[in-house]
Amino acid sequence: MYRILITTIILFSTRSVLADSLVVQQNFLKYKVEYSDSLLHLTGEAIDIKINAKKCNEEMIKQTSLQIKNQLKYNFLPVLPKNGLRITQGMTENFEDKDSLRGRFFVNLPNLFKQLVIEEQLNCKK
Amino acid sequence: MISKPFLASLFIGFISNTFANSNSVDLGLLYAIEEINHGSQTFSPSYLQCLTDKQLLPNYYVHQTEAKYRQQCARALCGSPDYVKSVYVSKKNISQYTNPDLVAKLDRLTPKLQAALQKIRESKMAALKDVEQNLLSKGTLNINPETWAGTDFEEDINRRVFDQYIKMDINKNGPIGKRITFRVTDPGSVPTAALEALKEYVAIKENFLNNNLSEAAKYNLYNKEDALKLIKERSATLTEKLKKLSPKRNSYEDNMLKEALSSVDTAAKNFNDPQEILEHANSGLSAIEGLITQKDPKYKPTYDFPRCTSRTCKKAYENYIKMLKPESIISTYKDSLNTSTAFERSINKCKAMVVASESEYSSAIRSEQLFKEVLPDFLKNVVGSFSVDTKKYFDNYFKNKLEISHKKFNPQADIFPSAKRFAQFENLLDTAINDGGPQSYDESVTLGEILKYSEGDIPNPLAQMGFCNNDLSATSWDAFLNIDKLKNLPPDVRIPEHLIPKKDTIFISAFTCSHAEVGRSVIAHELGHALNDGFYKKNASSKSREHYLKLRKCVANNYNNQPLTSVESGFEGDGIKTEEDTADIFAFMAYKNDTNFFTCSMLKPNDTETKFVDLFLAEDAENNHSSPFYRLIMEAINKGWSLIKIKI
Repeated sequence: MYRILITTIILFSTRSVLADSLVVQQNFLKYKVEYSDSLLHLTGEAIDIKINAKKCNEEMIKQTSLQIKNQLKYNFLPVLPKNGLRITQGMTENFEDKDSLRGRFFVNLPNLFKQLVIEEQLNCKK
Repeated sequence: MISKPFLASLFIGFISNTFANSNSVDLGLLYAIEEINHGSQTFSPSYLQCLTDKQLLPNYYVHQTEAKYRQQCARALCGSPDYVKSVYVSKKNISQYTNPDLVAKLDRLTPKLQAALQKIRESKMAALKDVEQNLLSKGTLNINPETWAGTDFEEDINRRVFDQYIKMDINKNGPIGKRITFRVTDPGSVPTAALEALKEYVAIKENFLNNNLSEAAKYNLYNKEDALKLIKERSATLTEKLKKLSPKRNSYEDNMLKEALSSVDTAAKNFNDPQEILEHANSGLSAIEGLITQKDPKYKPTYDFPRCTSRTCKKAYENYIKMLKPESIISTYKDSLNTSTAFERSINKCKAMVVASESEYSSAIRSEQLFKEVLPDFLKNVVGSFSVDTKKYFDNYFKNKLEISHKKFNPQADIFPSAKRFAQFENLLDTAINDGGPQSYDESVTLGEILKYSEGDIPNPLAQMGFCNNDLSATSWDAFLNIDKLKNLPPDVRIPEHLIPKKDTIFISAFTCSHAEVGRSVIAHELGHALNDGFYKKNASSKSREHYLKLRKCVANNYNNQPLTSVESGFEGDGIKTEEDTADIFAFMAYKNDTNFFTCSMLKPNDTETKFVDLFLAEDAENNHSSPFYRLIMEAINKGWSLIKIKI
């Protein structure tokens, strides 16, 4: 009984920390982003920003993670347009136009992460 | 003319350094080098050996997995991992790039920010009232696609109402003008009320994508022959149409037409790549279409995405919004406008946006000072090794023609000084307070926000403050730019020429300014690009160029190099990493005795700064830079660390 309970707790807690991830590439811009309700982590050339959840930033992390998830809901393009983005999820490679809403979102994501760090500092200051 | 054999003069510093100076090194470094070696090939100690022995550096893409040796090697050359020394922006060092004066200024502006936000809240509440009245009381919505031009709302609602049900197909062998088609992926999933509208929308979208030359270029729809045929036909049709509409044109119109036709002609004659032909011709043809629109306002130019304004489409948009059960969304949206936490968080978000977009500006004084320090070293140790004529040319170029800029290289053409941008921000803030906001919140803007809010795309509608969004730029970096290179950049990262004070400019980043010891080599690396450019433009003596090309070939042959794409310009035989690797070599030469390796800053520490991570030798094939660890090894070797001679 206890074993089942412990297994369940472990499975549940493991599941809660598992983050989805994406690799985004546009020309020479390339980064990997991991996102979940409790973690945001973006690594790329000249950037490595990891934000773990705490009380004062958990909403910000959840919202950003949801924003990333929402961007993936719509159909992608069948080919890589000129200067377009490759968005890779696991083994699946998707293509997007750099000028679309989604394209602009992902091109700007590294900067959004910088902004989130500053925002976190301001929200958690007290 | 060169007075001595070129190698002797070019690498004289290297010779003494490489063979006379046996720096000590721990075993880790040795093992790391052994990893690079494979089979019977020996790793060349430097590019000097490559040149003299004609022995190319081995292909290093074969490596073992002994991470601990790489770790030891990195520590031996760079010391302990430390984010303060690292070029990686992280939570640990972001404050280095955050201007404390700006944070203080923003804190002083808090009351103003609050006042502006209050105004925005009022405007949003008023706009919401209109939506509520129409939607909740009358059951209708004032959907007006004509006013959506250029707004994100248009794309946002279309992707929800239509695009999610269709997939694009491209048939490059299909007839011209019909190569892009859309199919409904699962007709059963499309709401019945949207089916008819979807057909209309698809027809409009297909027509646009197939006839807009910029889109045709983007999707590479045509080969050269097709592209030339297309622009020739389009040019003739448009000219005829304009001539019919305006048989007696004024001199301004005549000049415009001549210029437009000449640019189409230039595109056809000067470019080989069909994408480039179409892109360049497009600007001329669009100008003619602009003239036609002036004469005939009903004319629909091919550059303008037409909106589906039929009653059927409007109904489809309305049905979609109603399907979302907007009453409850509107109610929570309204609550979110009125919560105190959201208010406070919005102020913080605004401050964070401004600070983030204004961070990383480098200091003008420091940039100037560093550049003045680096130039003599570069001239002496690198340029000084070339022939007299070549030296004379580059000496003049670097001293009198090359500009430096501390301003951030911003793909959004954002190269104004920070102070000016802050003044702009303050102006917008005042406008928001006095005029109720920089944007009006009409029904479609409000609907758009409600849609996004309902799905979590806008978590806090109060935080959508136009004046805070200072066009966050991509990561700023050190760069050497010239007009030729700009032309090869994708249009979205191209700085308009009129904004560049001088075409040949070195941009110096905040990292370089704040890390002077390694920053000098970073500047030397950028000067290396400028030197490459001089050779590319054949501004050096033929003898110097010959030997330069030899060196460059050594660099290029060190890789299983990806071929160049159309984005980069380069020399014959170049691979994707050759330009950057060659610039590195010149940076190593400029500071040949400096063992404070600048490539150490590119190694990434782990979170706890207990070890370096990602110590790969092979970098992504598509990355134009070599891997940081490989660059470090190359710097050490080229600065005379006698790696092979070390005895265990």
